[in-house]
Amino acid sequence: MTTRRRDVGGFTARRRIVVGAVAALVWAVARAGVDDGIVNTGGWSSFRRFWRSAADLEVSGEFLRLTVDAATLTLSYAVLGTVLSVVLGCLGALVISETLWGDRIGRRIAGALLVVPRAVHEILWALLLVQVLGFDPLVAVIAIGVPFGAVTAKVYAETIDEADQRAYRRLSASGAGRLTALAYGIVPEVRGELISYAFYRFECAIRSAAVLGIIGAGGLGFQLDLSFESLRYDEIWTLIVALMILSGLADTWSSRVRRSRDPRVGRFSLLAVVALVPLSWRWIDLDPTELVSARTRRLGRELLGDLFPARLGPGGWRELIDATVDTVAMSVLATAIAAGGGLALAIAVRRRTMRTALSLPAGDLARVVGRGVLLLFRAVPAPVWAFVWVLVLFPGPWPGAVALGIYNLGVLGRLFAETLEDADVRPADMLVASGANHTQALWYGTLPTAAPRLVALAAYRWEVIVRETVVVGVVGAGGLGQLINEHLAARDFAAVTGAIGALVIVTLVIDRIGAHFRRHLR
Amino acid sequence: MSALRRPVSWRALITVLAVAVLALAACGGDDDEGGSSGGSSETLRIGAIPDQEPERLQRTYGLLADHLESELGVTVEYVPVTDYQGAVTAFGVGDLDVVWFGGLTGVQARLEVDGARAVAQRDIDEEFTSVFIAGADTGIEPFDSVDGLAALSGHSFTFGSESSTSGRLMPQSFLAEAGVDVGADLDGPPGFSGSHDATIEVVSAGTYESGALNSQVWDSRAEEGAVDTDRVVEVFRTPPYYDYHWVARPELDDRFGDGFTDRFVEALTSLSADDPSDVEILDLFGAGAFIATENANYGAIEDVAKEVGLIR
Repeated sequence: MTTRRRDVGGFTARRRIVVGAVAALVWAVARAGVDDGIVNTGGWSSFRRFWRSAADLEVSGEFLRLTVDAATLTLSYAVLGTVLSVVLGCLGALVISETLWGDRIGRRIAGALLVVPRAVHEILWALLLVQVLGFDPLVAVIAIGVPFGAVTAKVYAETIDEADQRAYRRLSASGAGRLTALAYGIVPEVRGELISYAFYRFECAIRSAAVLGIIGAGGLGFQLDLSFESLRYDEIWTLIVALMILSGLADTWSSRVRRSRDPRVGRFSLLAVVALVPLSWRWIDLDPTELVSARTRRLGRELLGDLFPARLGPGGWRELIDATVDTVAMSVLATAIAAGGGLALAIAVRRRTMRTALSLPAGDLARVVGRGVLLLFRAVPAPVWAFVWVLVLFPGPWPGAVALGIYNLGVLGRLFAETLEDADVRPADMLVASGANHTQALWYGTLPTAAPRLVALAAYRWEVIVRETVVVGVVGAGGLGQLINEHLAARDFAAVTGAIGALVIVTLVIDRIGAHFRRHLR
Repeated sequence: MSALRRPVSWRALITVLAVAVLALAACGGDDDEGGSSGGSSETLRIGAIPDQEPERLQRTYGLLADHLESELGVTVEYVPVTDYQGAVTAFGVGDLDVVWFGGLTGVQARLEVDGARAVAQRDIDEEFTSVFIAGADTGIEPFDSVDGLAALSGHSFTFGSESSTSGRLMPQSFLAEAGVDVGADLDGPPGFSGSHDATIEVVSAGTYESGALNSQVWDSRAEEGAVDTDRVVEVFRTPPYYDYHWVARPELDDRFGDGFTDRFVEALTSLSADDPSDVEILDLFGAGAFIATENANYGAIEDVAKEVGLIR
């Protein structure tokens, strides 16, 4: 550590972040309550039965065929949803890029407006779209494409704005239009990044498509839901294995594209996806004309009339504020579980450099098991985790928080492991060379180097988790998810809009906090 | 640097895109009867709220669809849905023509579609009941009047699905009658397990001390021996109320010919306990017979739903 002024400033900023995070966690634990006991020991036998069924999959030919069909459907939704989101993302990025428009007010407003589609979880998009399109495959594709498109637009715009601007300026100065200057001045330089992010979205889309099945869009989530209604754990595990295979393949592919030094990998992968589009289209029998049919227009008008003007539910402001605070508390707990557990597992499963590698075979075993656990955690949709945990945790925010924590631990653990692997190895190697042991090398070498990126990832995940609290509202977890369910059961769409409004505001605030973290940790 | 390879790959990309477009054009031609626009298709689509295990629903409605096809002379398709509100929505947008609804969802569906009719119900639906169950070690003793529900004050409690008549609406209304405000008098807010079976599961597990569900489901689980009576017991059976019924969309007669809705009701009410193949269907519905019904029978459900805030 050098002791120039700037570092001191950076240090206090870091300390502020740590203190803030600890304070948030203490508050969330207090809000969720620990005095009545959290763990319900009476439920162990049901809980054990669920896990024991993992050894007893349903493998009848008929059920396997059904599983393969469902997996293909989920994959198709994911492919088309991702393609839509990348198209929307490119268009959106053109609108909100600072490089193109400078600091105009219109650009800023557009950027802020993009938070709205992002804050609304895919499940809610699907629930609203079903009111208009009925049980149409378009529902799943749009429900994935729109919120993902908004996220992609934001990331693409940031990528463009953070790229080297010199070529762009030269082209502009010599009379090229904005788009031309962008296409020849910036895009060639960041193309790899744009493609690799698109693949990260694809990986997320697989998981999203699985959850969407629960709305009745078909696919693995739908089958999971059906098997859940009769608590057929053997079937549930078969479907979970299918989800793990699908998710694992998508993750591996996306990793390859994102971390390969060879630009051809990205390009060939892009070709493969483009080839998958017509197959998926065919498989789900997509018919975009339904979007503009007379029925859709009529029902769309009706739904908008039902949604607006937004209003409060019967519980008024109090109910909404309470639910919002519960949601925030649940998201803080879940983020803590995901980030803490994710870091621990990431340390266990990362590949190490020659010099800091453990020379024990146990290291390899831990890596394989750890990766399997992470995959299991992220392949199982959060609502399924919620039901499993509600068996052994008393109702309230805890089952929801643990379910979201476990699911996101799977996502974050993998991203953390990648970050640790990609971190500069020199500090750790130097420490080892000068006699430090592995723990010291990790603690004083690797972690400080990777810290800014780790915190940025965790902050972004927090924002995602807030949106996801709506999918675990069913298990007495409370929060906005429960409130939205209640409004939906009463078909009170105006009150749903009100609750979504609260979610948008929370997302906006967390987005600001995350941006603040990123600025101070660069 | 990939500058050398770029032209090749983009050419490839364009080729693949062209192939993709052609493939799409090729399969754009086989317009099948998606038929959600209504009118075009001659298929009667029936559905049901998911109040039982899917396998059972599939069997029940598969048999029923066959019976209706032979009686009505039209193609009948059963479309499964996984969620109560999903059934209301599908009926509302016209993806389902006739749906087996619960009391509450039936009322909601009729509010959604002007002119929709409640047309038929089971003999048992005139006198439907819910049961309240409690963990065996909670000290809640069985009782036999609605006032006894006051004993649930201070205990945790779970409903089934938010939109369930027997698993939520009527239990909540009986609790209110006994002076129990579910928002304030229970230990914590009431849970929503998601289904009747899940309610038995979480009360057995001790996650919640008590719960309420459809008495038909409870009785059949108890009969199968699927209930661990050392852990969970019935403490109260409610007074009867109107529940499940078939609701039909208003345009069926236009689509399938005059009098079609009445013929549909006839096809149901003609199921006879003396005919072995009919008995199989009736047994799956847990009914002795289907009988005609009318909208007016569900006024009470609508009033209760307004009180509870499920119809606003």
